[in-house]
Amino acid sequence: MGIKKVGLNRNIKPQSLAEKIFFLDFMKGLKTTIKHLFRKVITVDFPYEVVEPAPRFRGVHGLRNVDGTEKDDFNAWVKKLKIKPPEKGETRCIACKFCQAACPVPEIFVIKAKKLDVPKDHPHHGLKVLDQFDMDLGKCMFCGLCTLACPTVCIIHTDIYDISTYTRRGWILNKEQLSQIADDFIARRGKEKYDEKSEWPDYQKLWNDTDTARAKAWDNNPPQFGPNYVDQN
Amino acid sequence: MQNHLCWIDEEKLKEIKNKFPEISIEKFPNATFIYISKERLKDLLKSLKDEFGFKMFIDFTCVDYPESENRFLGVYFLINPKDKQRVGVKCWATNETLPTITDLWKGAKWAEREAYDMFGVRFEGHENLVRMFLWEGYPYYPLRKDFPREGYKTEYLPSLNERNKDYPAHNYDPNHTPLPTLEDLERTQKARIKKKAQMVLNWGPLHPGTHGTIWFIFDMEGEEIKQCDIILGQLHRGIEKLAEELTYTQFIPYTDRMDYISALCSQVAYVNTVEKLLKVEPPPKAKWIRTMMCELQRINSHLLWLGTYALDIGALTIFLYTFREREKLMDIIEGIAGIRLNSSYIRIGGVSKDLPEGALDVIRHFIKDFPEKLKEYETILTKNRVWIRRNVNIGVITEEDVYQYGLTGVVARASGVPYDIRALQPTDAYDKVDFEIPLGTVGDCYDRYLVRMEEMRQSLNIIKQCVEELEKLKDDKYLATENPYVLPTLEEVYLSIESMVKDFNLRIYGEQAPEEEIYLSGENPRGELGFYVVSKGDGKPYRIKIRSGAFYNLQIFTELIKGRTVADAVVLLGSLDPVVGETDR
Ligand code: SF4
Ligand code: SF4
Repeated sequence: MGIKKVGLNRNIKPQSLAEKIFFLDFMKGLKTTIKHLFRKVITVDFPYEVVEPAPRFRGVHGLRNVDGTEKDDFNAWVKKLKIKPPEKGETRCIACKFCQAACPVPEIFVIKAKKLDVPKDHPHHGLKVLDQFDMDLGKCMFCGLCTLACPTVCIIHTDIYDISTYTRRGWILNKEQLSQIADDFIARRGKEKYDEKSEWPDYQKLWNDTDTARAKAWDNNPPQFGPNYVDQN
Repeated sequence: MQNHLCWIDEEKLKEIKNKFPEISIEKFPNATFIYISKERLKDLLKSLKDEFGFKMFIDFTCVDYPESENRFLGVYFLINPKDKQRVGVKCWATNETLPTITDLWKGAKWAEREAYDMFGVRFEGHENLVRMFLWEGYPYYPLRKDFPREGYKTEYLPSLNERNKDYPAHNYDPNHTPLPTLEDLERTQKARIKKKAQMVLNWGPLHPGTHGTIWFIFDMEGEEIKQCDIILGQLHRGIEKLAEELTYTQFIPYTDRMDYISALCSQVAYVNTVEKLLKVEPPPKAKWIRTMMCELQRINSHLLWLGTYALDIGALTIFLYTFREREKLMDIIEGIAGIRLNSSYIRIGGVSKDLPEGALDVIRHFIKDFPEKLKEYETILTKNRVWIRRNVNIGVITEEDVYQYGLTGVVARASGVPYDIRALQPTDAYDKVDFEIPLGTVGDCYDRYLVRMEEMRQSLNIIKQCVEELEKLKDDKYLATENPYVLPTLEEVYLSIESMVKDFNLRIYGEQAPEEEIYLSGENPRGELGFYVVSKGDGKPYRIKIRSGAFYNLQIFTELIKGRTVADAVVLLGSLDPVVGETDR
């Protein structure tokens, strides 16, 4: 580790008389800018063209439904919390409130389970179902602590980022809306983000490397992934 | 002489004890404090400064102990730059007053005002003891332990609260905490500055040139600024108060929101402090990832600075070019951490997730690409005569100023003070990488520009070394989950019942830190970002004081601008590069 001085021989005055008269310092700068004039456009034409967020992007939350890709211990969790075993298409949430406990702003969540109103001899007697799951995203800072705490990978982050509404009420999502958001997301990009046991797979990529909009932002010379990194021009 | 910054040694302590027999010494593994009575405080500080070489002022704060007899404890941090030692001095504020130390260190002026604002401790002899963040006439002192976190909701503001029948749980309270009225603001402004010259000019709080919400008041004679003061607090969110009711992990997202331009550096500085406190050692891979991410963030932050700084001076093209490069860095950070700005990626004991596929390839691509772009910026700027006229010999900061005001980061290094926490107190992998510390010679805006440009090159160099190393560590652990204080990964929770219990306990009760105090800092692009954590053995910190580099660096602005014009104010502010999220906290 060394200490290096910069500016010791800094050149304060424009160097020579010739440079001064012919504005060579400006010329050099202009040369750079003029070069840029002939480069391809690097900006994205939003909203007609959008960059696809990375798989890890933490956008609006969703609540996943049972679709056969649960973790192996899912049923054990359901039993432990005395939840009615969910059918396919019903929510994975077991109302354990781990997400709320992990969250720095627990007021965001309102999670309630209710006992099923069934006769004594019914197999579901004494079991509960999720009744209310509201999230007030106006208070959320999208830190991701809740999703890392959920034992059933029920609450997830999707790639939706445009959540502006006209009233604060618009940021409050209930469980139907959250489920819908998650379903759409899984149908759209589930394969990219989760493996068949709802884990983040090793093959999860930094971002979709075939995205043309993103390629533009990388000077139309996007980096290629993979071990065979070849020098690019 | 040791190379690394450590706490005051025995020899010096003995000498001090000989001189001041009444002191008592409090030692923690990562902090050493000297207790002194209020009467002798000034003498001790003076002798520390003049005889023992502790001439650099770092921080001052108070801690509230409601059950103790004197209630408020003042804590001073000083540095001896020659022997590379730190010391803490503690003094009880009897009758809620302390003597001012602004005659010893000018930099204490704002720190004392902040302590007055937050705790109500008065400083005898302070030249203008007004509030720092809140407005004049605000009746409470928010960091006192008896002040509730959500404040006193006394204003009825129904317009903001459309009552919502569908989701009764999410009703908003129609009562709010009070906001300053126009009269309050006028009173605040009047209290800061006594008009002496021709006219008072307000600059900000919402002006693009102020890089955030800072409110400047200039007292002007013609074109010349005679006096200046700054009103901060428009972005004050009371992060230190919030920290007292959160667990150590839950506080990580809040550190992002201080210096939002270099969120990763803030997280690393905070997490390192907590790890030292909890005695957690992250695995080597996590350390390399952190160092790499920090340096990426540093380039990102310097690019934003360069772009906006050039924009202020009139070079619009540079702004477009730097944002092009910054966008790529944002892409990388988004892909790895999940969010572009407030990434919340670092965890106690490592990082939250391993690097995804392709991350290193992309970073390598960037390393290859970037030096050419840097050259482009330099061709346009460095020798440009407008650039030189606007920068050279503007806002000269001397070495003495650095110690007086506690200036850190680029501002200190441009004045020739080799104060870089990365080299002085290496955390993570900084002791394993090679880099140079660029230093300036004059200490003007032009030097600060040169130093920042060179720092980007050095950061690039560090990233290169990290990428090489991370390639070898491909399959290593990224989180030290075997440690009892580290939250396990989901896979582990699923595999073992112990992990599940640990996970549950850590989330509900927090990390039970030992009863200890610690001060540790990290090198943020804006200077030294220090965290002073007081733990009482609970899962939540008793007090966290954030020593913000930008806050102290901004303070010298009021001195430097005297006798200059408003046009220079823009340049000077840009070259000090404060971020309001961090100054206000
Ligand atoms: S993202 Fe963070 S703030 Fe938002 S709900 Fe989850 S834990 Fe809470
Ligand atoms: S942690 Fe998951 S399963 Fe538990 S309440 Fe939250 S969303 Fe539901």
